[in-house]
Amino acid sequence: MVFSSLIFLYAFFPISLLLCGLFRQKKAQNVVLLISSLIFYAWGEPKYVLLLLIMSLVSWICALQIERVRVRRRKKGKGYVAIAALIDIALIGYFKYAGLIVSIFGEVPESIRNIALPIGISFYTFQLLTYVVDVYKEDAPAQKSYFNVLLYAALFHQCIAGPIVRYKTIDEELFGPNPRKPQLSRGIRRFSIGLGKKVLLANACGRLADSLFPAADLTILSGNTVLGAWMGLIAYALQIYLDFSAYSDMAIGMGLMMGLHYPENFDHPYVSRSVTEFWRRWHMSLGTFFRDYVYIPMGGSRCAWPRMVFNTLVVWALTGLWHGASWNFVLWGLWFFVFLMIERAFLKKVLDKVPLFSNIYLLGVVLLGWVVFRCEDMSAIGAMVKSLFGMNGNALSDFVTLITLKNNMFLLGVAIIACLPHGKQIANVLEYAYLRNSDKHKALAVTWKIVAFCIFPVLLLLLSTAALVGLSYNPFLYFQF
Amino acid sequence: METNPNRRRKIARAFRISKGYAIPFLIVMGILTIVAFAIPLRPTRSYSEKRNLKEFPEFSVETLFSGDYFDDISLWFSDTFPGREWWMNASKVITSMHGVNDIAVTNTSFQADAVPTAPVKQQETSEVSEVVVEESSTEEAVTVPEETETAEVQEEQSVAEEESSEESSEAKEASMEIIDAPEGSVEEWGGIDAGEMDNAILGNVIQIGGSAFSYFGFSQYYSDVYVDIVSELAENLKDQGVRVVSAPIPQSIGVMVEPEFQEMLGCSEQGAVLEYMMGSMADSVYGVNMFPKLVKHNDEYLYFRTDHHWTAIGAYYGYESICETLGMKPVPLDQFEEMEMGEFIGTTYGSAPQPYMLELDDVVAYDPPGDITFQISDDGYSFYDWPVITDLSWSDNYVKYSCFIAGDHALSLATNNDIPDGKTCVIVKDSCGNPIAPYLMANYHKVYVLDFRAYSRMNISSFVEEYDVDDVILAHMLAMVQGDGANSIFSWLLR
Repeated sequence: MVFSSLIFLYAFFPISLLLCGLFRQKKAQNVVLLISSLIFYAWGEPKYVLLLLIMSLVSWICALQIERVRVRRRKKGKGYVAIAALIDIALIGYFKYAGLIVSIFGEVPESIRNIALPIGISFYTFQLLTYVVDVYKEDAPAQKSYFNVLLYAALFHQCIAGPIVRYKTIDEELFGPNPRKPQLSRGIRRFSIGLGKKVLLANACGRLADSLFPAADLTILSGNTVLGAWMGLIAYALQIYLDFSAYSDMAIGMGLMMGLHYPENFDHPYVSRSVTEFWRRWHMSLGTFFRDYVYIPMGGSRCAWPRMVFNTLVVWALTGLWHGASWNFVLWGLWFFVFLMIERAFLKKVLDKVPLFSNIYLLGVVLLGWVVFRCEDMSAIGAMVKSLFGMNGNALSDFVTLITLKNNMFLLGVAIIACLPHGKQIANVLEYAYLRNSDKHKALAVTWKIVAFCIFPVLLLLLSTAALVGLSYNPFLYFQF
Repeated sequence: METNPNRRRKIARAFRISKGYAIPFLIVMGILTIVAFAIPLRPTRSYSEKRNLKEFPEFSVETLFSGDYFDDISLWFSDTFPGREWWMNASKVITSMHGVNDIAVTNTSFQADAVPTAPVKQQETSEVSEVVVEESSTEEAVTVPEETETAEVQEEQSVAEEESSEESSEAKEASMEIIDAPEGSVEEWGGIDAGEMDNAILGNVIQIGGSAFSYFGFSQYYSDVYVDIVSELAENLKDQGVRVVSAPIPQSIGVMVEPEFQEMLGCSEQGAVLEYMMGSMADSVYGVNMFPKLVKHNDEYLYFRTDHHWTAIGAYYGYESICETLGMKPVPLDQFEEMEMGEFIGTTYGSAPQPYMLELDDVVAYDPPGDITFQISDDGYSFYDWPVITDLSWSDNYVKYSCFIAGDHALSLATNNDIPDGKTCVIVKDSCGNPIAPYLMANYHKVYVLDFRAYSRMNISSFVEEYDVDDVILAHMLAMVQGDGANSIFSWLLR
């Protein structure tokens, strides 16, 4: 099941929301959340619920052992961390990376190629790793109840598309004694913004991207005019950002409705002025995971330069690899690694001083990176790059490309505006202005609240429903995660 | 910074958005959830998409564990969502706001083969034109004319033909089983599922103003395949005195859109394509190039704006072209009974980039004059009676085109009892041939209408013998023979 589907919006979600609303006690709500999360997961992949159950079991046992060893034998329990990590990594390695690993040594047999990728494995595996490590570091006590660990891993809000919520950040709200403070209206608003972003903007940009920048169709890729190639690439860049951030928005919104506060995952990455900044704004939960659980334990930047470069290289290869089990993803990660090193060496100081050029520089790097991300095949990458720079003999633009641009200009305009922080900033300013003086200007405050929290979410819900009915194109990009 | 603690408290409280503001959203979601679970409200068929909607899946343990059962339930839930047509229209309005859409395209990559120059066949054309000139000066009655030079020989032949046709028609009458018409209306059973073949036609669509046009691309290879099949058939049948007529129907984009525009899109020029094909065919083939006549009248309502078919007016000009080639006199249109069917929404509506901006169509049909009985068969054996033109003025907008000969069926037979000594023809057609068949019923005694996508009883040579046919008329879309679908059927059917 995906969030942007009619069965989620008008069957699963309302029923689970209703049940959670009926039970006010945290424990009862957790039971509802656990059962509904397992149903949610099983709905998409009945067999692989077992994998989720097993991984959670392993993590639960290991965490308990760590605590027991710490209390009884005054040992740190590093061994159990290693066991949990090894088992988790082995499982994700098998299901996700077996094909890639085998391909290093030769031909990949059919049985390996046919291994299906359980949905969300990249997300919940990492979450369980943070659980074990947080217990080890004494940032949180181990859970006595297996079901609590399972709930943490399987919670349908973020299980299949993030954000990666670290255990210590959510531990208190999920299992602590204090009652949760739901923010229903803000949650609904956030959820509906995510829904609209996904269904109304990302899907439409995706359709455009697929017709101009397909992943593997060489005829189209090499037949593109320059304008067509850039339009396709920009549409793809918009799709992937709006889609991914929309899912995080919906997850965060649903969390707010329950009183669970998940960390932000995206902060308008396309306005960054350097690759360094970009990765502090894009998929932030993944970036911080790798920083805190891989980079810093390996030594981080507090070591000699060669070691630091090596640490960075490892992190970026893993970042690329996390996004997909194919060499082009590793290449994509390394593409950023190169620019990061250059920036760290000298470029960043330059970029900080030239605002507009740094934006253009960053967009150039990121857009070209998306070419590598999208096409698994080197020949496809080559064809697209040639089209982008007019090196395949095609015109700068042609009649059909101009018509396509005209047909989509408002969509692209709105999608680009949605990437900018200004909309949110203006909304924040207005909200602050109206509410701050709400006792003096009650009418303005109430109007703002009605527009922003009543009308806007309902409008987005209805428009999204229309777009979802009979929809043939509603891609779920995370089937490879 | 506000220092007054009371005021600070008030402001902090104001920033807490009360649960009350969530109520409208929850109400809307609640209502739609209840509606979604109201099973009787769910539609089962989509007229606009011409398909049955997904059914609730059967339960089985395998599908449960593979995940298919749940996937199918999700699909059923969204496919049959109550108010589907209304929601889809709303969605089309939203899509129309993506940009400026006076001209809109669906796809940007389209390539077609270059059209070679037509081989010139001097003698052929002059012979045909002589015949045409003769007929128009001597012909008056609505019968198939006999060439005056060989009149005697013809008479003998025709007597012999009549005798043998009487015998075979008795035999034929016996092999035709008459059954009752199916239940319900043409709306429900008037058509076959042509599936992928039609999709190949629709493909890329460009929208100009309020009309949608499918692209047209010439295929050298498949056109040559078609030319060879038709030529061989004509050569085989000419000794029996059977005429093979190839009358491919041009697509709307060629006739209605300016040539410069078509060139910018990469679409092939259909006039040149037809000239090439006609010129390449064997001399025994009666090739009909209806393109120049259609272009001449392209200020009239020749093609639908939301459908890939032509209108009855366009079909009339096609009929005129066929008559000219065959040396028959076309019956004037005012002798046919005009029947209005009302507003029509066609096939390209769904695949057009901005369907909301299309100007809707209307269907007008022309019922042939005289005493004509019409019988339809879906298997080639059992026939039921039905009117030539069905009155669909009351029906759903999406099915109006089925008024012509009740849509597509494997085999149909129209008998014009006013021309008892007229000839017999078989129209091998796809759905574009439907509006042209009623016109030919005014010129022939028997008109067989064979839909090549559904008929499989026997090939044309056997058919010609079995049913004593004089003319084989191929009336199908020009685009159909630019690909594999139709040609692979023709390779066994047109033998």
